[in-house]
Amino acid sequence: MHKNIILVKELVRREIRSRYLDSLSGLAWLVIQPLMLLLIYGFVFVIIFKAKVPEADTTGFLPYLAVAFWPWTAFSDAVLRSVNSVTTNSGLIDKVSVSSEVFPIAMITATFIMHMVGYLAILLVITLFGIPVNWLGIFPAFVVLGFLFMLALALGLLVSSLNVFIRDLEHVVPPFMMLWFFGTPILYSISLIPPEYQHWMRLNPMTGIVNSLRDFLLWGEYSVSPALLLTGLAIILLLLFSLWFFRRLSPRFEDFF
Amino acid sequence: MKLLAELDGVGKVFPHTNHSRDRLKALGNLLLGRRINNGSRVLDNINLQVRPGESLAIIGANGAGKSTLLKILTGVLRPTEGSVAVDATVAALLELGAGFQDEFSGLENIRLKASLLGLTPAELAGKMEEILAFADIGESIHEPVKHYSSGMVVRLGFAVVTAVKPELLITDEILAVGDESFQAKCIRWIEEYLADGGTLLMVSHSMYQVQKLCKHALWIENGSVRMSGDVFRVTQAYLAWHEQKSAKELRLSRKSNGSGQYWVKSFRIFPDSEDEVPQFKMGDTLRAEVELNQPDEQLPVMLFGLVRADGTPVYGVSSDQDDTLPVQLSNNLCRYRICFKDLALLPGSYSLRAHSMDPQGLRLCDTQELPFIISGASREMGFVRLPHVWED
Repeated sequence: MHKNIILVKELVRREIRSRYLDSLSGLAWLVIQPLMLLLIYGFVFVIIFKAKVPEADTTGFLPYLAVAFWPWTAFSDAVLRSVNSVTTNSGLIDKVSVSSEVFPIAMITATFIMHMVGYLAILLVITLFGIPVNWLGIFPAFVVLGFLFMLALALGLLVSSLNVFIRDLEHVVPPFMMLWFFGTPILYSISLIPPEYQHWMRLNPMTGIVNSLRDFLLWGEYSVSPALLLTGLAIILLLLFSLWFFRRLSPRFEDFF
Repeated sequence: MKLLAELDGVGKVFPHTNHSRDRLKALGNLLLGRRINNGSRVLDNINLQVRPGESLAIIGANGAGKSTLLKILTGVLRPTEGSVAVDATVAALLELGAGFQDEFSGLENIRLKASLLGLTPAELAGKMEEILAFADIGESIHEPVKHYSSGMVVRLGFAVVTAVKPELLITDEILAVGDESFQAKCIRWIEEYLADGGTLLMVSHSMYQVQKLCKHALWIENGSVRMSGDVFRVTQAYLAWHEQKSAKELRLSRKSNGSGQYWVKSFRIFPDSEDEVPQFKMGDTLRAEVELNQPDEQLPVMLFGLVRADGTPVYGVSSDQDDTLPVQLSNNLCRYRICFKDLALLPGSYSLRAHSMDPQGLRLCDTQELPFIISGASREMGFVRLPHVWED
């Protein structure tokens, strides 16, 4: 266990280093890349489609989008990158005695750390543009982001282990994540959905997560809905299942590389 | 005494993985906790105990299952049957550059390797100087590993292991890559490590290294243990097996020439033993007796040839060279006896060939061959011990 923690730390360190800090403008890209995406979405939806979200009257569309978009990017990026995290390290797993779960865990942790730095930066940018961010809401938001991280871990463990056996998975997961993105009230608000479909949307754990992030950081509302608690509980159960699933398969990974 | 590692009835079957159908079926079986039992078997019923201070070599032909066995011992692979218990800090060097990532510098890879072995960054920092000194690859340490020569990769890998000083060191044919001076350095280190009570498990094709470093050997053939025990006994049997294998291939291409009149009626080696192949020690006396068919009054010439099991000639002598005549046993039977006293042959596998020749000693009539083994613990090289003294 102790050994695995050392190893995860080292893997996270080098993943961050290799992805950004080796290039000079590394840290800048961390903010610039999602900022540009945000501007593109902003341009398309605000200028072209003239999208109006009733809840976002006070803050404007872009901050409304940004508060949900960053965590989604962290989540989606983490899951997508974890798909190959076991197979790309097959050289290591095949030669050295190591618990394979350190690879998806390190990959997801590194991705989250990087995007959370970007998240903080974008919250600062929003404040600088004069839109009040409820900074006290950072603390409950942190708990919700923790659940998001656990959800990413749970899915990451599932897809990375399945990918050893079913190599097509890396082609299946990206469109699925795209579908999930549009099925989550990130670009729009749930109130724009016809009422008869709204309860379907609430089954999506991401709905509760992005809504509560907006509550905490933009509106300053700290009420916790039972649905959110239920989502948290479901995520914990899913994570436990994923760990069992992964450990059931991992002893045989070497046979299938 | 505490056991560092114990294998009990270990077997390994690699499942078929070429078709997605096989992979899916295997996935389902794993999730349901069922065994996957179709596949190719590489190991069968291996039992092994490793005690502290042991030095064990695993030898065998290519594809015998040596590397799979090591992988099971290090925990990289799980056995299909049987149990593995390891109770020690283990460092393994399996294959060249295992666990190195090409894109990263040598220094980065040292950090990764160290964390794989359970070293904290603080502990590593204290040992970095020692590691760099042992690896001795200079400024290249900052270059990506993909630009390294294979020797440099091995240096790096071994250097990290020396810093960890594991209770059990497992190496797979890695010393073969380094240059002479680095090999010597590694062997020196391993000898020191063993003297300090370290435990070694190695795979090597160099019987010289095996005999130098290990007390015991385990010979694996087709996934099963063929022989285990004292390193000299096992390695000699293993080498003899190889020599016989290549001799067999040689013999297939050679024609039998027993058509002459003076053919060999019987050929025996003394002292006879119950073993299939008679065994001698260095310094023993070897006697041989040949009875030849003799169709006329003339006496045939006898030539004895001593060869290594692979057919390499060691010594040959004929009766006419020594002006010896056979003993007449009856009208058409004569006998030669020869005695080799104080055998100077080094341990290994040999054959004695009896060639009968016509009375002029010009034409070969018949050849028969008997194998025998010289056993003993000697690390001298070559075939025979030449009388020698070390002088001031």
